[in-house]
Amino acid sequence: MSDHRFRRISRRTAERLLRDAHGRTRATGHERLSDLLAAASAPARDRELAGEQAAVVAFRDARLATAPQRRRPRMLKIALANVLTVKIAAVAAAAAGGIALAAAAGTLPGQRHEEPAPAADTNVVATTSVTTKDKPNSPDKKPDNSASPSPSLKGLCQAYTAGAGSEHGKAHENPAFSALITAAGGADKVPAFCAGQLDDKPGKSDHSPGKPTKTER
Amino acid sequence: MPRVQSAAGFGDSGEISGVVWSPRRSSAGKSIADTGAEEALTAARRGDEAAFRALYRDVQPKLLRYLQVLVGADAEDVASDAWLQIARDLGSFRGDVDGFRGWATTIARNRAMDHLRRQQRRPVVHGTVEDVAEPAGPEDTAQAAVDSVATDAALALIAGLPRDQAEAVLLRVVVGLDAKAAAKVLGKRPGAVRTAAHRGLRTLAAHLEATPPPGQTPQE
Repeated sequence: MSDHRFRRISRRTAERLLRDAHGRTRATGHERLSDLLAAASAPARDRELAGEQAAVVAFRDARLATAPQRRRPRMLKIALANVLTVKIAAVAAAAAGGIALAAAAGTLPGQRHEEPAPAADTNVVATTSVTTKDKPNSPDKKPDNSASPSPSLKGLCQAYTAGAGSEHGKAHENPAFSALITAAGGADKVPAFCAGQLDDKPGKSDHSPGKPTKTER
Repeated sequence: MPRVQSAAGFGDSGEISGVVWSPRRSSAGKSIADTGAEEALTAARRGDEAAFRALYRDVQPKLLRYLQVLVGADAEDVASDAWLQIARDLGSFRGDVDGFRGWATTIARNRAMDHLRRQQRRPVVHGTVEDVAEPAGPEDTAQAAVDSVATDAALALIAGLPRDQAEAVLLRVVVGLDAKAAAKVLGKRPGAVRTAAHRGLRTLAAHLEATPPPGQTPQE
């Protein structure tokens, strides 16, 4: 039966078969192959769409998941920034504590402008932690070894105040603000507490929005 | 490594969504149905559920048939996984409907490769036409395949091809991609994919030739 071999398919015919499988154009001399390809690409059968509802649910879930995410990043960013502030300040206070304390105590008067071994950022943060230690109102809440909470409270206050307009309700739920709420003595006391915190240090809050630097004027 | 191959064109699943598919690649073949699909894609990207449904109905059978050849009976599970990702990343997809088909196929293929890797076994397709056709009897299979509704039989025959040929034929014929888009899915050069598809067709034709056509007795 197969003493005559099948007709060899030219590249051109092959391309046509591949392209026109949907169009049902049958290549002359290759009808059976055309039929086979047409069968392979035949319209959907019901059982092939069995997963439709699950896919639609996934689509719905994906939409629901992305909607809140659009609001979240801002609060997360703020919270993250504060956590970072705390950490950097703490690390810097621990690592460069000696230098910072020495600088604060004025025991290294000649070296202050010379910027010794620690890098510039260390000095900046060390200065921050030192200056916060100078504040009279923070030490009465926190012991001496936790120099960082003060800037973090201030940062939290700034974040809280900045977000108060738009995300007012959410701020209380955000775990990042729990420290602030605790420090203030209650969620309702936060605004007053923050007003005190921010007003207290006008010189330091150079990056707090909308706040003129009264002392320098 | 399949992962490397597929990554060549699209990166991993995370980056895939940012890929911009060149639009209107086969505009000559654009039908009214494609215009409708185009609108469905736009609407689905904006979150329209009915439009997403339409996309699913268009693409899912194609994916499923392709996956069937890659992972056999697990095709539906792998397809479900793929749709989870498609549903999640659709919002960030950029391109036209042809691009969407290629993009979705790449996701499906990546999921299939993950699946195979997890199973630590080779893909279903690796033998010859005869190997796969054996259980049902090669002649029965071939006979049924020429019937226009015998989709499974046709797929079984294609599945019997060497894997690169089977994939090339399926991507072109069943998924409906052109050589370039199919090459992108496979992480190969278009020329290589074209050659593999042509070889696949010749093998299929040879197989059909060796079996009696429908309506004729085997004696003939």
